[in-house]
Amino acid sequence: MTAAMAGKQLPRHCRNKIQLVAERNGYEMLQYIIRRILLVIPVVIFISFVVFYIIQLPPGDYVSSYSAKMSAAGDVMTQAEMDDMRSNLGLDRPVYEQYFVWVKKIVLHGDFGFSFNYNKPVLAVVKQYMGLTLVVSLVTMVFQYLIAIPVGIYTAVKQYSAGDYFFSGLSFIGMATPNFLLAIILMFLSYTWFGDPLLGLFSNEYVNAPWSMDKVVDLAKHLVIPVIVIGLASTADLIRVMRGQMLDELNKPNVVTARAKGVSETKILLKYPTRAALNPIVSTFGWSLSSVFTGSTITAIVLNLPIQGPVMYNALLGQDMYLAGSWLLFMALLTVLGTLISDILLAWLDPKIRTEFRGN
Amino acid sequence: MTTQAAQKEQPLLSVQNLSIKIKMDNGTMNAVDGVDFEIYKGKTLGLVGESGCGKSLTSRSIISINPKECETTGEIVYNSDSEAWLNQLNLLSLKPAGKQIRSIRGRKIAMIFQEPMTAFSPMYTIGNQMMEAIRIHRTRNKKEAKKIALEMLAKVGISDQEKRFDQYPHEFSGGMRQRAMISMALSCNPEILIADEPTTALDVTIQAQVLELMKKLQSEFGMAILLVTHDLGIIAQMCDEVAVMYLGKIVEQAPVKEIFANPKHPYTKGLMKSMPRLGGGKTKRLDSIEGSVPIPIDMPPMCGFYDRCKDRIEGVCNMNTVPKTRISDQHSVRCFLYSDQREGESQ
Repeated sequence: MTAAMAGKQLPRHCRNKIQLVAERNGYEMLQYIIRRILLVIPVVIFISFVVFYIIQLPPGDYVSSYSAKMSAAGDVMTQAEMDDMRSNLGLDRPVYEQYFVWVKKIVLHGDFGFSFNYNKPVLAVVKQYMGLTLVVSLVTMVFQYLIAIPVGIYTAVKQYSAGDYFFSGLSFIGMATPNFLLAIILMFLSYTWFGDPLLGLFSNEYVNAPWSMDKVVDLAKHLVIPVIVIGLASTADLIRVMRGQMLDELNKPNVVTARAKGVSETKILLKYPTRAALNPIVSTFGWSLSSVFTGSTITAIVLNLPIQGPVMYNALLGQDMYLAGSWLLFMALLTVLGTLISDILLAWLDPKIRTEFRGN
Repeated sequence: MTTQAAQKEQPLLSVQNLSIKIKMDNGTMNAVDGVDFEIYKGKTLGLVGESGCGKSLTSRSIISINPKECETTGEIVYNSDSEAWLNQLNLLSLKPAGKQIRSIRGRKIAMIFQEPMTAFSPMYTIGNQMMEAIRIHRTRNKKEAKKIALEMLAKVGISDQEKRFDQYPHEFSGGMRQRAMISMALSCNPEILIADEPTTALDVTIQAQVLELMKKLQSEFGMAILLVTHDLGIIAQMCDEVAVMYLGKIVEQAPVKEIFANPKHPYTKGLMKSMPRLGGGKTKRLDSIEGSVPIPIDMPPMCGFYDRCKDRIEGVCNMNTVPKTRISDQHSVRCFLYSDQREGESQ
């Protein structure tokens, strides 16, 4: 058969296969996904309750921290002024009432409350930072998987080789290095080598400039350090997981079977152990999604990144309760969503799990 | 006798002085030590021995699929008249993962394994895994390959092949899985089938079915079988010739009837006695072989069975390497008890 013919036939075969799998599993899969999404609702309600309760826990409220700030600036607030402010903000009402007002507004108007710190609706604050937060997080995740999976495979196949020791050593260092320290080191190196510490996500001239090719390139340049700093620890972790899984899978009898059939080593490696080793990586996808978001806070402060982490940090410090609460709620939602995504991916990857929910 | 005729013809595969050493932290283990045997066309050789005696390593070394840590020496001469380059080819001289040995694996010498659940990958359908070998060795065309696979599934007695083809291993029962395994191994018409404990993981009733199936397919395809097992019942049912392995050495080798009627080596005798027999009486307990197998690391020149042997001769058995002694044309044994009967061809 000529190469051209093979090339033409390949997509059709692939399509056939996808169709077949879809026919066999599509309906059950859809049912499964819908069931999972419905389950999310009570979870989110419960989380919103817990979140609001936790936000209320520390002594004092926004007014007391505000008055403390004012008195530090030499402007003392009277008790009457403080009470007035409380009743304006609705902070004098019982906690459960505040909670229901908050939830009612979210459900009916999509209004997550008002940020006292920013003097803006919470949604506006979140919107302002969300775009860049997503960019940083997603690029970091892609970076993690792109590095960790191949390196994990390599270190497992070449177990106890110089390369294995090198990457294993590197990944232990990566896991043990504090983010902020690494951030400072990389900033220093960038400054000594390129004359620019690459603080923030944009150079000064691009911060307020409209989007252009140059701005994207500038962003990409500034992303290098944050992505390495935020992603290193979990990349190192993923390398260890991938390596361990691969070592398990490489000694499985199905690898020997494939070898006895005359399959080439490269094809065996990719088709059998790698595919099976991906399962635990995929199943942790849910947590890593939210850990990338939260893990970046300190890094973002050190590197002066205009993303959500520091905003959340300040909201917690200043008892800016609606901003902090909404943010926590959003994080929880992200975790639930991530778990859902990884479950669906897992069902798609692993025929056994597929059968299990088909049986239900 | 059939074996006499076989004696004259060229063996299909001849293993000569095969040794496998494994480097361990505390020394080098002589896992397989100077093994010789021959496999003839259409015949079944049984390799019997207890766990860890090196029978699996021996069988796997034929197609070079042992782990990297194994250092294999000796000669494994393949003598097929189907292709010129396969005539008098020493398989051990080929590169372990090279193209040449890969074109022999699965196509000329196929293998089935003990645990059909783990031997199949849980990630792919049975059809996918069957087609892999067919598409490497027989046809690139996917449709044709599928046709061959379906035919093979039918041959091993799997009904509703179209549906079974698209199922995953966990949707098969144990016996069905082993049938699928056999059909996968035979899908490229191999000349030699290596069966490594093919029925150990199966129920007794299924065992019998699978063995019957193997016999049937052997007479249909005419392949030679190397049957690795620890079960003498299977040996009696399946084999033409038997090689008994103990601690990396073949301690006794004879045609199947001869070895059951006239076992020579104390270990073989022990094995026979430990097998239940009809009419053996209910009250009599089965014999067992006392002691356990030593680990073959830095062993002095002595018989490996010495510690467990009831007939050991002190000063002889534990002082010298045991030579091979020929009892008759087809019966050889490695034991000092017989080394004076005939001139032993010591190595």
